[in-house]
Amino acid sequence: MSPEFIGIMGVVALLLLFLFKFPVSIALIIVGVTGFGLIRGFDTAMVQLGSMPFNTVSDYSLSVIPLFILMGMFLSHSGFGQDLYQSVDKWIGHLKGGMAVTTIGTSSVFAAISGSVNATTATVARISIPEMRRYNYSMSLSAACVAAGGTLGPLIPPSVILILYGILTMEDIGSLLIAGIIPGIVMMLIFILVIYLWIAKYPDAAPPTSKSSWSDRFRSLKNVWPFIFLFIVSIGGIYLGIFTPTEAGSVGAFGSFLLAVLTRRLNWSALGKALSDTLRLSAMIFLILIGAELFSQFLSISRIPTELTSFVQQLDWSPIMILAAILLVYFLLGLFLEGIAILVLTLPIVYPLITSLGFDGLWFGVIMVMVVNIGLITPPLGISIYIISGVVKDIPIEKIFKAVMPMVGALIIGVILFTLFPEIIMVLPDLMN
Amino acid sequence: DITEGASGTTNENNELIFSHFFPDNHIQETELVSGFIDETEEATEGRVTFSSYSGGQLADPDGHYEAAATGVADAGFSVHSYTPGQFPLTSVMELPFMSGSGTTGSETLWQLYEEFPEIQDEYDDTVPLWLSTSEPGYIFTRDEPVERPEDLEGMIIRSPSPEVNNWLELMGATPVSMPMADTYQALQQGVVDGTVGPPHTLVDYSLHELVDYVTVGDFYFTTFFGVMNQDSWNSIDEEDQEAMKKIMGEETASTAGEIIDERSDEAMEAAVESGAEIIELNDDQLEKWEEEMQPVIDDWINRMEEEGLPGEEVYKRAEELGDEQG
Amino acid sequence: MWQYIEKAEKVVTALSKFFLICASIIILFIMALIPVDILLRYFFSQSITGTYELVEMGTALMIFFALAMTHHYREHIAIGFLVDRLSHRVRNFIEGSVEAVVFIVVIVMGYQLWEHAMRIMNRSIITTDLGLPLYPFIIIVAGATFIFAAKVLFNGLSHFREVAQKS
Ligand code: NA
Ligand code: NA
Repeated sequence: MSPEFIGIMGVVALLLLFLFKFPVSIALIIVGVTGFGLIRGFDTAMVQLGSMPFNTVSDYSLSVIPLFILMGMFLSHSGFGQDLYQSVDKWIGHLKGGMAVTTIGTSSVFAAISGSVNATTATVARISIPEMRRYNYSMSLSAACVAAGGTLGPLIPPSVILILYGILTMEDIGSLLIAGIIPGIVMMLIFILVIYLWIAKYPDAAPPTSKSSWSDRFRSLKNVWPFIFLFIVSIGGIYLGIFTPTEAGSVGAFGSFLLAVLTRRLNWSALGKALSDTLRLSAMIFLILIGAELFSQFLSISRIPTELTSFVQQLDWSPIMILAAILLVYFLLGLFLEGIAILVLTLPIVYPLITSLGFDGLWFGVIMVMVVNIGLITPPLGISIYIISGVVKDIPIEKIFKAVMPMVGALIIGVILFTLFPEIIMVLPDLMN
Repeated sequence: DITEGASGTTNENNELIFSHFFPDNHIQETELVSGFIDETEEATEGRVTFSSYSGGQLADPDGHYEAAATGVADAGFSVHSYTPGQFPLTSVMELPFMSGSGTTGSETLWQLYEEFPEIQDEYDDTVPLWLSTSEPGYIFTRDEPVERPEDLEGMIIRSPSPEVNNWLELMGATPVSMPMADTYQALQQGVVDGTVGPPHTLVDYSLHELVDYVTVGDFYFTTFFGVMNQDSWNSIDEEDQEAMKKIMGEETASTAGEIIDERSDEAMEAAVESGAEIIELNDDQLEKWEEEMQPVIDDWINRMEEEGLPGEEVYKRAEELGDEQG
Repeated sequence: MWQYIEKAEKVVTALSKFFLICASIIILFIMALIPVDILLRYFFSQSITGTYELVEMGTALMIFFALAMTHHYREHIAIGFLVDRLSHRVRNFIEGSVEAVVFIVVIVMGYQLWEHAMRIMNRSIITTDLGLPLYPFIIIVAGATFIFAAKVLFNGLSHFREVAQKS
């Protein structure tokens, strides 16, 4: 058996294991170690299995991931998300479709301080859906807004998935973090546009709500400052040179911890939940990273990435056609796999290919994250939708998937827009350097 | 068993795997590793061929000795100080003022390896292909120049190794460890005031753009090893082994040194071009530095002797070789 | 028989919870350590020796300490759209079998981590700034891996119990 053949069989075996509901991480470990063993001898494969788990997990750059997740969890479990929503609501909730826009807006702000899409979706869903229900908003519209808002999480800094992209490709993490800001804002505007078209067609979906007084509005702002404060401290500190991007995670986590304690919102039970949620989510991500490390070493030694790159370079396709094909594959993978798994699985192959075609690695990171994000809100594995359906138990999940379709369209439009005008992504990073 | 895996069931043309963590476009790959592979192939008339796996595809930067020893790769190339404690006597070359260039440093290190069985013991489960050093490491600072040891007082300096930590602390500076990838930003925004390292690493991470002052002195050396798996070596015919031995060792060590010295000159030119001021120390000033750094050397020797290793002898011999070769 | 298994399971779950508490303390420690280091650096030009490696070792321990509870809540991402459609018995049989394989993989991984620790010990590798020996950390990680394995085992058994009870 040639190494290339073993490599292809490995990929097939991996998909089969996925189909039988193997944890993604363990499936990667099994295929990675077995494949490496078949090519290189099982004694050496066992050495890899012994050394990679500890080496991967004791990587300083990766420590930022649990800390950014912790920051989001502290804010979520101490009720700051709720306050944020109510404040935005007081300002724009009374406008036509105002609460839907409030939901998108709250998601963006929450995304801006949370490293995780799950934390963003779960928090905003828990807060906004009961509120919208109170004002007789249609559940379809409510669910669509929460789902769409959650997809902004991985774009607006800090973003765990963009940090991972930087670690895996050696692209500058600081630049990656700010590259997502403008695309995030543009996507938010596109989502708001979709909401207006929706309400134009179905006016009953968003009945008018009562207006708040100006004094109420200004008073509510006092609960929003923690978000602005944390965003400025954790992202601003990087650019003022007080700390490095890797250190920003702990600054953010520590800041949100202090805020929650000083405002007496963090009791022991909320502290325990925030810590437990953070650690379990981080452990899940890191085990996938260990598997991905082993799997990518197997792929390397099977020579598939090298062969594939030279194969694609032989094709008489234009770079933009190859890009389109790659993004299509990402879209399809996104339907079935979780974002981090896709990233670690494909980047060893795709990143060298993309840069060899002359595309900017930084730009591609943002585009790829957007495409993969679509899978968060599509069947069969739309994690965001599962989280939302956990909050609105009385609506069948199929109906939520259907309701979210216009938002999927919006994301696709966004991807096309940012491909035609890469400046939207590149302007901030270019400005920084 | 390991032998089966390592002796090249890898692919049809029996290519051996050479693994290292330097990026694909780095001189360590394009000149040193590629050059070694080409020469080996030529000398053995194509019977021994390596395929290079760059960028740490097969092992982490600190896992390359292990990878070669266990047969994950047939050969590995990395930096000694990534696994502190593993190569105690080899670390003599990390001490200040050991040599004036990468070429002489590398030749000295290989000569020490040949002369001291205690150093050979540090590589007893592999076959060393070469040992080499970087060019001398200088002090790079932003804003404030460093001429005298006391100029370092109060500065925050990124440090590459424990030996450098020691003398930075002696001079009242604060050494910090951070990933090389973070250093650009840290230096740019003043998280650190400077860094110690061989000039070629400056260009690797574009640090030359940021540096205002370069204090020239033989303050530190990074050391490298290229080692081969024992069984992979044994699988090679004796005739080809003899052919390879002519390339291995001193020959490749000094080539490695020359490559890095050349790169170092380019790096210094780049630094000057982007506005850095080069601070050359005169003999009086140098003497002051040597005096201040002596405790670090004494400490190193004491630690070796405590562990029952011939630290004194190795240090003396290294100094002697350094003087001989200039 | 199930009652003994249940008792053993309770012990393993208690251990897993204890490990999660240890992990919580570690993450709080890291969360505080870095800002303190930054403040010292910014205001006093000082630095806590070993911050870098303490964060590395701490992250390693905390992640492995949390693995068992992550499995307890069945939070490892898996794709269920095929298996979840099958009948209760078949589904539990498949999931139980998957857990059996996962158990073997995790046990082997724990053993290999131990072997890795022994190799690192023989090479006397220490950390850069504090000079701590590296191998004890790897041994602790190997230990946590075995607790994770035990958790997997009991999850698997509970699936097979479902299969047995329905027949
Ligand atoms: Na975010
Ligand atoms: Na790696």
